[in-house]
Amino acid sequence: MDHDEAFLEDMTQVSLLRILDRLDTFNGRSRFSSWAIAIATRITFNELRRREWKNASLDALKEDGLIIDKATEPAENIAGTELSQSIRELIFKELTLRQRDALIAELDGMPQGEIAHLLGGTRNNVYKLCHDARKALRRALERKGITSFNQIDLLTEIRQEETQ
Amino acid sequence: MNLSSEKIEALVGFLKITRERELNCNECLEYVAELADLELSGVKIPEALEAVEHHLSICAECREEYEVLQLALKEMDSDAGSDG
Repeated sequence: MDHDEAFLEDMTQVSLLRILDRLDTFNGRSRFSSWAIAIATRITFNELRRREWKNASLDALKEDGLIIDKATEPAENIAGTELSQSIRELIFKELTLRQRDALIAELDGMPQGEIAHLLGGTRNNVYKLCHDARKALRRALERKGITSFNQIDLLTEIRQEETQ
Repeated sequence: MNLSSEKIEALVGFLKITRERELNCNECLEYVAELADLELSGVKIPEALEAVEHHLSICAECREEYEVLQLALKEMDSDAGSDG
């Protein structure tokens, strides 16, 4: 049995156990096979992402500049528009350190499951951290007078023109 | 701080569609099979499942899993059709 076959067999077994464990939650609004494949897909992709990011660590991410450090000045490396600068400043002022770490790691493409592994917690916890962060930033932007997100469209266009 | 313009732009995109109440990943998993079945059958998606579509527009991982689920179901249906 090669490595891929062993992996697929492992995922099949784990998925079957999870499906059996959750049988009472099947509500019948979809086909059973669709429901079961959705669970198996979640399990398999979580494991694939875990393997892909297994060597990631918070320290390494900070060294790479992925995670915003408390001591870093928000004014550094700012070369964008008023909106870009406002967002960078608000990320420091409005978000908790955990919210900042989770949001920036997510924007960099790190899977939520791996962020959860590094920060402690679950994928749902990370989604909530990022959701709370987005809500806090939206409210803060609105307090600064950006009440219509059409203004964000406009400012995004300005930034794009500046970078061209 | 390494927050590139591309990341800011992505964040702005997320801020524009952020809602006070959103489904989390586990809640999305509860409904995603129903959404996939309806989409495959071409039936109009009921308003109640719009929250699932919204979550998929924000969560890259759930979206990736949903796309794979759709492919798997299409293949399964295709195989069933060819058997019959």
